Amino acid sequence: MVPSNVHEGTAAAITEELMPLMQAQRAQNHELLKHWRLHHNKAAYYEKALDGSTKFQPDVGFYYRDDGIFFVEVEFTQPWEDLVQKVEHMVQGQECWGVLAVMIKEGDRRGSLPKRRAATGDFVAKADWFAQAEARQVNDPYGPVSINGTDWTKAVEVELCFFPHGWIQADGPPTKVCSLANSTSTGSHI
Amino acid sequence: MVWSRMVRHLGNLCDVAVQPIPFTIQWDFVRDRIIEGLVLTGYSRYVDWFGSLRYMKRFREENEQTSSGPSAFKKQRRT
Repeated sequence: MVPSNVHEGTAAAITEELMPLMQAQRAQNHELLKHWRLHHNKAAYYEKALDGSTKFQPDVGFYYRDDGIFFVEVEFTQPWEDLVQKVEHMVQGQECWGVLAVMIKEGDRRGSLPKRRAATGDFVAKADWFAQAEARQVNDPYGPVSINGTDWTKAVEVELCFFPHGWIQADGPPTKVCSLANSTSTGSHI
Repeated sequence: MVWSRMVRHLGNLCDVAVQPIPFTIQWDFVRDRIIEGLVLTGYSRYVDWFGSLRYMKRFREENEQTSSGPSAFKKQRRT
């Protein structure tokens, strides 16, 4: 399945923010960065297999000499339970310091898309489509993207959580970094 | 902070004294990209429903006069 724009755009945005951080650290300590790398979708290994899988593919990962040391996971259509189970296994890695998870929860989409075949009259030019969608977002940025009476995306809730090394579900909910829904936050420390 | 401890640890592995730069992200920037992604995802679902090839054909027909990009450039060069 091709990843959604929400998923890919968010992962790319976080990478764009992390790159200057690495570059600034590199300016101070060039030796440190010799074996420190940032990757998208690079394989990493579980200490203990999850459902038979020994490898996983984080959206964004920091690696030191090929060991995954810090990961970012973006979840859009994946169920929360699946993400938590995966992350719980990721943070058991001896070299893994933690996982930052961005959870974008979309409202129930069941029955939201038209069942009928599209007619010629359903055509909306790209520029018009974007103009209408963006106009609706001005007052409700995380609200549904609705064109011609159909919600093409439902309203979403966005949360950021940090799962430290060794976290297990029995420890209780992970540390919430911030909620992006109503936040004007400009920074956060992990 | 976990990030700073991690960077110091990497420094130790390399035998280098490190002053970690704090993990700071401009979340507003990420937020804007999520919002943009929602529109793009909605548009992608709409195009899938309409039929992507059918939509592309119709789009090309309507924009033939104003087309730009490499295909338009090639046409101009041939003439």
